[in-house]
Amino acid sequence: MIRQPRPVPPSGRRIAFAIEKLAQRSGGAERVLIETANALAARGHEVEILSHEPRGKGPFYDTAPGVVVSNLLPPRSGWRFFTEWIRSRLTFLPDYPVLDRIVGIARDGGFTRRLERHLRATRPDVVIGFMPPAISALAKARVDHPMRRVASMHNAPEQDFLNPERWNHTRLDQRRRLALMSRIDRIAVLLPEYRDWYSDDLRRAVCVLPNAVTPRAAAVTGREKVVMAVGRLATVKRHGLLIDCWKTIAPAHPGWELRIWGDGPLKDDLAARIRAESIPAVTLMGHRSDVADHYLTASILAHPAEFEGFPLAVTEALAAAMPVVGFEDCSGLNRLVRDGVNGRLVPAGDGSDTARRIAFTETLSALMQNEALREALAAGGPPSMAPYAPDRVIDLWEEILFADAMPCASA
Amino acid sequence: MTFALDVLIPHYCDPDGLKRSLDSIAAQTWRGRMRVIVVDDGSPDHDTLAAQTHCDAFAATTPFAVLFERNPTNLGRPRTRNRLLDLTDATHVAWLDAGDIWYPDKTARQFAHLDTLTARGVDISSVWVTCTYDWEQHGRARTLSQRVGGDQVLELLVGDHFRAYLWTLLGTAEAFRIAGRFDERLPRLQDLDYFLRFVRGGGRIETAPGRRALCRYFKSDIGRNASEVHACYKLILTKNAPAISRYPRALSSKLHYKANRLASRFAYANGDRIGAARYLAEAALGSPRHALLVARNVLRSRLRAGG
Repeated sequence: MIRQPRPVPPSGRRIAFAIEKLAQRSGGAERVLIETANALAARGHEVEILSHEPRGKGPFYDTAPGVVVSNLLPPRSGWRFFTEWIRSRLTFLPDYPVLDRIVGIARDGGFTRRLERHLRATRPDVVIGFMPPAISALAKARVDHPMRRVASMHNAPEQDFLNPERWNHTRLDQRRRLALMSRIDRIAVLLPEYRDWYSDDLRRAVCVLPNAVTPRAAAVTGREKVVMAVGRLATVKRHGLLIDCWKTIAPAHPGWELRIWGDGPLKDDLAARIRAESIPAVTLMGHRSDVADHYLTASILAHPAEFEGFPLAVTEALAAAMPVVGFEDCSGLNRLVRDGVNGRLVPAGDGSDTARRIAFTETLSALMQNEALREALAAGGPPSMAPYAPDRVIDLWEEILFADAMPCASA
Repeated sequence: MTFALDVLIPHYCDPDGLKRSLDSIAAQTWRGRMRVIVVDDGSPDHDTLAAQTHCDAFAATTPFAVLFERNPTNLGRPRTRNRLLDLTDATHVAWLDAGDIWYPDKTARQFAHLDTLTARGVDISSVWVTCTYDWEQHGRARTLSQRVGGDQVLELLVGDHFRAYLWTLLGTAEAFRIAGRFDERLPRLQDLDYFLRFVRGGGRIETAPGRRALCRYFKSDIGRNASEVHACYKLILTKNAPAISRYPRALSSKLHYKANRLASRFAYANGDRIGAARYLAEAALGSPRHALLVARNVLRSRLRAGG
């Protein structure tokens, strides 16, 4: 009995993820990258994660068997000490025309060059750039084989393309970052409204790809009197505002605690302020891997962030039947939290810090007082996360990565 | 019916070698539900027919099942091996190349070792079990053991005491999925690439205990294209450059030296003296430090032998 060969199964594709920095980074995008890489490897694809960073450590999140992690930046040794020294000096040149090219090449040229060389050697079927630095390098890399380039965006587009404080501060990059997107075959955005931001030319390549949210079996009642806040301790998350609110709320709600999970540049400032102002019942928990378990027992997630992409802390809280309080003008969050259904959206008022503080204090305080409302909002959380079930999201990933037609999903 | 073990054999123009391999499988003391899958890589009709006849005879005289398939043309070993991977659905997988043989207790010893690992609490879904083997070349045989301790990426790259030979392996199907598919651009040395991907992907290779060989490999350099070997080796080094760069630079120099030395050996074995000399010169010029070290060691051993 002699049979004809079967076609190669669709599972055996080569996929590379590119991200500039991954070592020991515990952010949401890094987590999405690792979870997606793991899920695609479990579906039989060959997955490699490419970073380009001086830290020689591995990722914070565990990779599944089959996922190879490669840091493209060789360690500094021998002559590389010298060339690195020159390169780092060049990045301090004045960022003016002509010189800006030198600054740009000194800062990003190595990533693009090494990524290009590696992609030519490994010839993946598809490469997914995570966040602007890797996406720009991917767009610039020239390869000699058919390869789909996918950009995975994890913020509101204004933050990725227009905020001069974010990502690469060089003039050249800021001028070219958006233009380079024309070399990308698929642009995955987290929410439908982000698609509308792009120009007509680019919008043809944009598809909506939410993050996956794992459902949790959680009780609606019998929760501890704990308000959680989860996120990097950075200005954008507005933990300072939350602590201000808590200063007013805590005396009126004995027995309640505020626990803040996360690490970041503001850690010392926040700790000093809590100590100096003797704010009661508030604890900085630091970064802990068991934070997800606390979504099952605490009562409320307070998330006063300025803007978000697709906030994992919010989705995980909702999936674990925990109501979320956040501002109505916070992108990403305002798509996931429905006022009166699975949480509370706080009006921004005139947008001033004072107006925000007063409104957030009132809303959070009212929810802490009203157990019945908390339970009703808690019950609304898990159904609202059903469209983001991991299997559905990974199906969508595969469609974006491999299908010829643009996926029309607009979750 | 789910098989406990699929034995995957690529075959090309060597029905007698295939028969030898099948006979060694028939003699296995392990008697679980085994199936042998043979994919003929587009051999001429008479070789294919002979190979299929051997497979039919094997199925008729042993309790084991056989699946014989054929590529319409000669697609090369990596594509044939990928096709074998597509055909397998057993819980465990082992490999054998047509012409090489297993000794009777190979499968039993390797399964026993997997059981031992399971009893120790090791997750065998990411473990391959290799073994000591006999290496026969030019009529001479030597027994080589696999030293699997330490940094397996480094050991595989250096290849002095731990070598990437697929026909030594047995493991769960899940463990083989870690390595993915064979790189079809590598007509040679695809085993090394496959092993490196497995280890870099979180897999671990163990060896069945004991110093006795469990299989025999019949090595020949004849007919192997030196430039093809050289190109394949270089490609593997480029693919794994990020991992290699984590080690001292001397390793990179050594590996590039090795690539040229290996190509030189194949060129010499196939009568291409000029090619052999060219690769040797490239080895010396490209990695002078390592070439000097090798020359010094050779000189010392000659002096010792002479003295």
